[in-house]
Amino acid sequence: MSQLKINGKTYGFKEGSTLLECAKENGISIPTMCFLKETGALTSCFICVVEVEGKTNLIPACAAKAEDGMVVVTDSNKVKEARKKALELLLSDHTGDCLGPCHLGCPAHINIPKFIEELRRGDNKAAITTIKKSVALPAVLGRVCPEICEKVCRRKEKDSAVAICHLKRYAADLDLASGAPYLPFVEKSTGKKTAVIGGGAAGLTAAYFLRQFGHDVTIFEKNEKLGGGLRYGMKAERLSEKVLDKEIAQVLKIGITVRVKTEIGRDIRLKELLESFDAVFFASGWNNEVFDMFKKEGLAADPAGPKINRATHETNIKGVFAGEKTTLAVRASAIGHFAATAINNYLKGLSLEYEKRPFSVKMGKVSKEELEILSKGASESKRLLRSIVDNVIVKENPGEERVPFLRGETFEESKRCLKCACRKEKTCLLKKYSIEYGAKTEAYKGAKRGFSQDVKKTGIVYESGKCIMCGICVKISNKNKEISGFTYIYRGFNTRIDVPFDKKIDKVMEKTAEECVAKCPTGALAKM
Amino acid sequence: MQSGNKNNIDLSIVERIVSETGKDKSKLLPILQKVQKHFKYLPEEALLRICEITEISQAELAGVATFYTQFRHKIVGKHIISVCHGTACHVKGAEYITDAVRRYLKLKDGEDTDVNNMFTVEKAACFGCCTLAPVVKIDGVTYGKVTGRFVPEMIDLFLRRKAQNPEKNKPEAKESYVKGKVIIKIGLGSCCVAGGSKDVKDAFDKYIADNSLEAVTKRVGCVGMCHSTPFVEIAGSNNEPVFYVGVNVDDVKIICDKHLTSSTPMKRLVNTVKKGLDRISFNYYDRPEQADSIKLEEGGECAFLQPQKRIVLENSGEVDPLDLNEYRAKGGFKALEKAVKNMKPGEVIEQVKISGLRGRGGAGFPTGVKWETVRLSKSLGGKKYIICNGDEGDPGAFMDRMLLESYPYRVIEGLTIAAFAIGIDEGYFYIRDEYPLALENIEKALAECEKAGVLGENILGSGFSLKLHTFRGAGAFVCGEETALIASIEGKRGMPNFRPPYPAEKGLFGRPTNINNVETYASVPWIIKNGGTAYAGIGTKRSSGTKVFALAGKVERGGLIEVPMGTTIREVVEGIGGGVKKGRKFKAVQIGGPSGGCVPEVMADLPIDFEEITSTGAIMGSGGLVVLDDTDCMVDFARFFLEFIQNQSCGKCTFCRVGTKRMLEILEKLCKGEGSVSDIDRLEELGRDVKIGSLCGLGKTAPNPVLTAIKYFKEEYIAHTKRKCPAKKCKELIKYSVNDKCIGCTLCAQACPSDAITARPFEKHEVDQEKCIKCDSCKAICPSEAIDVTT
Repeated sequence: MSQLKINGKTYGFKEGSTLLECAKENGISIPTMCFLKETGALTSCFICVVEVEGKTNLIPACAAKAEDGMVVVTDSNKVKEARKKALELLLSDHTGDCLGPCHLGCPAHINIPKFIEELRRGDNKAAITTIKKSVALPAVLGRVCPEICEKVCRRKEKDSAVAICHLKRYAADLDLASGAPYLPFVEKSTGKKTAVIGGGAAGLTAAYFLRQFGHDVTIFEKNEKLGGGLRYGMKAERLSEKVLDKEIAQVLKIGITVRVKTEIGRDIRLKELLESFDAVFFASGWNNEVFDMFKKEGLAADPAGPKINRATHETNIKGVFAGEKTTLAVRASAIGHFAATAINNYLKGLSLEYEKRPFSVKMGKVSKEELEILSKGASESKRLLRSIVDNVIVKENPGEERVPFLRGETFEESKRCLKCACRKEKTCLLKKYSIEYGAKTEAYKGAKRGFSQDVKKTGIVYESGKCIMCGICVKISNKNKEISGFTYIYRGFNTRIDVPFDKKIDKVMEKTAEECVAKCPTGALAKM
Repeated sequence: MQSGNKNNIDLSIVERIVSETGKDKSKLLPILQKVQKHFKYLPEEALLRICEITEISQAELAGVATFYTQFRHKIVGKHIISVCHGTACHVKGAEYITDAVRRYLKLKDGEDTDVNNMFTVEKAACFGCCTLAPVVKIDGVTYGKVTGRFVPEMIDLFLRRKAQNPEKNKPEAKESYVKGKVIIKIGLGSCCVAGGSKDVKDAFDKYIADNSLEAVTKRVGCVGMCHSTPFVEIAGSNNEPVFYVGVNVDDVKIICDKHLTSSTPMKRLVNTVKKGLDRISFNYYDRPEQADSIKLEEGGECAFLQPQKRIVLENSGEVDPLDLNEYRAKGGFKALEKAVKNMKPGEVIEQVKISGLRGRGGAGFPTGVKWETVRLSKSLGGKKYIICNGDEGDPGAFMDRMLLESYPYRVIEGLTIAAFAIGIDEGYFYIRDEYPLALENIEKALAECEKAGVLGENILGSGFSLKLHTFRGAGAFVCGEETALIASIEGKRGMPNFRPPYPAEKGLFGRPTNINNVETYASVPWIIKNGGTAYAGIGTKRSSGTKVFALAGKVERGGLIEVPMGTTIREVVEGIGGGVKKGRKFKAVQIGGPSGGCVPEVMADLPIDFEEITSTGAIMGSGGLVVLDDTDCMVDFARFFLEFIQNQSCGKCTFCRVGTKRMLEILEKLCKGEGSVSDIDRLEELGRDVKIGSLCGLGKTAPNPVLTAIKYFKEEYIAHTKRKCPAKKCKELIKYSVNDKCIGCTLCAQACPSDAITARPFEKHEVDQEKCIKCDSCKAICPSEAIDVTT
């Protein structure tokens, strides 16, 4: 049997098999986007490149046949760097948003497009699940949040932003009012103990997520009640205690211990805490008193805030974490969630760094024409600024007097979403490998394709700006003898894959549209 | 693509074309070419009809029709003005010409056809008339050495000609060379024609007929002395031949009067009288009284010809390219005869191996080894193909065009010997669309060969048969890559495939295929005739034999030359080419076109050899040599090649499709003075990435022009980051102004297309910087060197 060497190890191989097949058979993973068994090697994406001894160029593993005595390297720096570059070049001509601008813009990165779609479907359970994956207190945030997400909502460029904050509040209120409000899944106990200092938005959120990770959590609150700034720094008409209490109770339900009227530095010292807790998180807000307490407990800080590693929230003392100063509840929420992630990584012995800003290609500002295309599926109606019930203008009546959406209104408002986010964000190979190889979305700037969208009545969407020219759909439609199937058009940087003669895909692609959607490695071909 | 403006497209024409051409996929390109020939563009209705009546799907058709540059999808004007943007034309100001044409036709941005629908302007890749740069073609008529100022006159001239001479298509008169008559040999390669030789020949014919002179004109192939075209040789039966260079229509009369006599005494008398009258009426104001003949043994012509060794270009300027008898009389087809009658196929391959001949297409793969591989490749039923790669796409190269036009029989003979040695009975000449005369000559030559029994069934009674077809390319540089070329013949987009399998194992229609370049085949007859050892004795150890180069650019004597391998670049540029213009400095030579690079003057003593050239970062390529002087900007030059490559990329691989685009964008930034030093580093880094991460030769070599330019001329790149263009070429970084030498003649003001100079007679002129479009018109016309360009 013929043999070859991959990454220093010798393997036998079947005559005629490609390097990609060989590697796969032996458990060595090589990334590829344009290769499929049924379509054969198309050698277009070039991320499957490997080094072959004796060749100056990198070789696409999908097409190169294994030869006796070949020496192949699949994981050298040269290879990784080339894959990263190929991905970055593809990203530089990839038009779309992996995540909606609202999703990225929200400090807590709530998957807004997803919960809006769930609300549109009338599935409140799903909506609250989506929301509570990122925040612990949505009913509260739905009342106090300055709507940062709405400032970047693309619908704003057309008329006005989708009432995201109001929709979130609707979902949260409905959930709390239901007989069985949403409770997250709590992982098996890890036996680790964590202390959270401060029971405000950051502390409650951190506790909520730390508990879900399976850790024991105790909140230390100096005041009589939990809530921090939400309780003691908020006008009552903005946020009623009733709502706050209800939502905090819901958080605590998953098994969080609370010690109120306990102040660090006065009632208990950090040193003592560290004897009984594996990790401590300071979510104590920031003022002169806290600054003094930090100094007293030996924590590095300056008047502007605690001195921490911004990527991990670590302080100068091992096992002690702290959140940066903020005055916004939503930002505090985000800090709580991120710190909980870092602490969990710390307790599980993983790398402490977590993704602060999720990976996403951004379309940025769109042209009028592009906006027009994006708006096609959305409802034309204006933002519901006033309630149909009693004609009270929302802006003039902040806080608790804000009139909540009714069921029908929620439905109407949710239809206004332009759905900027990619439909295949979860399965996109370009995204997957970009994260894996650390490819940056804006490593190369230059001319980019415009946004376009072609929708088939059967609910299939083709967005050519997201196409990486892999050629899989061309091969599939050709193989199945579509009368008018996908084809390459033009040459050079202007090369596109599209249906011929400026036709719309609705008129063509009778047999293979579904298959092409399933095989398309990116969100170029997707289901509505 | 323009969707159906129902122009009453007569679909019966499409049906007729299909029934004549065939219905299978491989007929797609010829069908589209014929449809376009009829409609001047590809109407959508016609394309859809093709799909209905052939095996070709809409997807396949649309893919192909949008891939090749030749195909147009919009209605065009009555006439097409193609401005050549090849390398030589670029360095000689093709950009100014395009601008001038567009201004003359009053075209707005984004438009390419004038309001009267008379003219459509196109940029052409390269016509291979590099020594006449810049070149413009209007329909079939080529104009060389065009200037911006000449543009209105050129268009006017074209229209007047058209009116006088509506579609004259008279068959070529068959010349008979009677002994005793004076033979006037005129080169009729397409360069020469562009230089006016067809007009000169017509003038000779007319003058001879009108005056019943004892002479005939004879069409001969390229002499190679393109710098002095039209080139005329007067070969008497008794006298030594006399040569004239740069002959003009007006010279015809003078030359005839000097050398020829009339056939009858009466005519002679009439002529004498006429001569006298002409002397009175003829305007000799700006022409010398006599055209001066030259001697090939002395002066520049000698320097040009003497160092050359002509194997591939044997008998240049002597024989009629299409006269098979003449070719045979000079020893043509003797090599084929020797091969098929006295040698075994293996012996032929052995001789080629001994000769050390390496592929002249650029990569330098040993020819004999390739032939042997194809010979040993197994194929069902034994079917194999042979292809002559005549898709000479490098802008700045025209060797293959010249060979196909001037020495069609030699190429056919070489290819036939190869087919015999390998055991192939069918093949193709793939000739690029921009070379109509080459295609025409090959087609005619093939027909002649079949008639004479040196091609077709049972060649020379040997039992060996070979059927050869021609295939016209459709405008795609990448089709010079062998797998793309094969895809193109098969009727597909010219997208390369991963090798192996090499065409030698799995090529055209899945069969083992031998592909060589034109010059490679043309070298074969000499090798077979004289033996491999004799050939190996020429040139260097690793690179044997001779190499044909197309010498053009900023060189005094450009042309088609053939030198033994090992000759230095300096010998070629300064010896044969006579160096750059007086007062200018030889800066670099671009070798290998878009896949090659710039070899700086300091390295000009490098011997020409595959390995030596590669060591500089350039490649031998197919043989384009474009000489650059100190007025050529290396940043702009790199941008020029990258722009070309970017347009030509088949679009398949990531690095080539997107990578070269990003490189081009950085170069554009640098040319505008907006780049930084880190951009240069990034450019180099990207260049290296594209090189190692591309599938085919196009991508693998695409960064070469950029990388060599940075390697040897980094200071120029750095200057651009400081908003300076040392060569004073980049428009955004230069300024035109008038110095004190101005004599106030107002010529510049008249020439200025943007009214940036006000005509104030006898006063020093001024350039309004706001209005100046940097078209160079003022500088070109100024009689007193009063226009300064500063950076």
